[in-house]
Amino acid sequence: MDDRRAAMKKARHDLGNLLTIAQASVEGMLDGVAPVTEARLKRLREVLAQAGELVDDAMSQSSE
Amino acid sequence: MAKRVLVVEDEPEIRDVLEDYLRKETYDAAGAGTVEAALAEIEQRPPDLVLLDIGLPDGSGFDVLRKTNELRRIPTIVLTTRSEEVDRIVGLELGADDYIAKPFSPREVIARIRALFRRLDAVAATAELPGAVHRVRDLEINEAAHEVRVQGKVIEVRPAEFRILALLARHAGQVLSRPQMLDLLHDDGSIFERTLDRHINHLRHKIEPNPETPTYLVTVYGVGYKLDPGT
Repeated sequence: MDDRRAAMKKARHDLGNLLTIAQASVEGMLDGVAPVTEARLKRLREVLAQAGELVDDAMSQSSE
Repeated sequence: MAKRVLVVEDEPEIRDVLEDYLRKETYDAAGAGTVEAALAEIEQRPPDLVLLDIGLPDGSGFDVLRKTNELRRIPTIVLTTRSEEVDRIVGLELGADDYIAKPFSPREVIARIRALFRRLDAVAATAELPGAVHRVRDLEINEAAHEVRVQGKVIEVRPAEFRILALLARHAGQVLSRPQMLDLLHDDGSIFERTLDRHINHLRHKIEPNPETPTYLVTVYGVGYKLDPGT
């Protein structure tokens, strides 16, 4: 149970970080702080895919 | 001279964006990804403000807060995920000035930094004037005259009550924990942690329009008290 709680805490922490990266990156591009580049957009897609995986994992664990 | 802001965050992508935003706002930005790097940076070139992530690879951001506080207080905004609710309280107890929940918008971070600098500048300005007068809506605290007025009418308060009220007025809008208040009052032993609540309660009966639902002397549950500047 403690293991699971620790895993959940880590997942929430990681998810928070991934979403912060995504939000910061999009806002940075919109605000002209960082230029829009293909590399940035690809990285953004990757970050969102990772966030999606984390959510999927959490959902399947909580329904076990 | 540009104010120096240190970003302590182990995710390089978050750190980089925050630094970019800070530089765009003409702040002097520096970054650190570990507790060790943060402490080294603070020692070598003390920043005016620290943005502090809690989950760092070699320890907790609170370690940074604890260690720097031993030397001198550096204004700190804690970055935390929503799941770390308890951390916010611990952070405020340790002397953090504000916290921002992840995921956050970098623009909001900048706005909070600006607000904190404004607040600190205002506090510094009043601290330099020995006879400061603090005005919070209908409440007026005149330190030189040792006088409290509500809607212009003088209110009788005890010396301990005055000291507490003046302290909160000097830090209007900022939550002060009980230990922090006692510390800042340079207490001579006449005010204890448990009598603090009673003094606050007496003050509420003297200055609040409705002491049961205070709008000036607000309790922040689990943390402490603040004098709410309102709107």
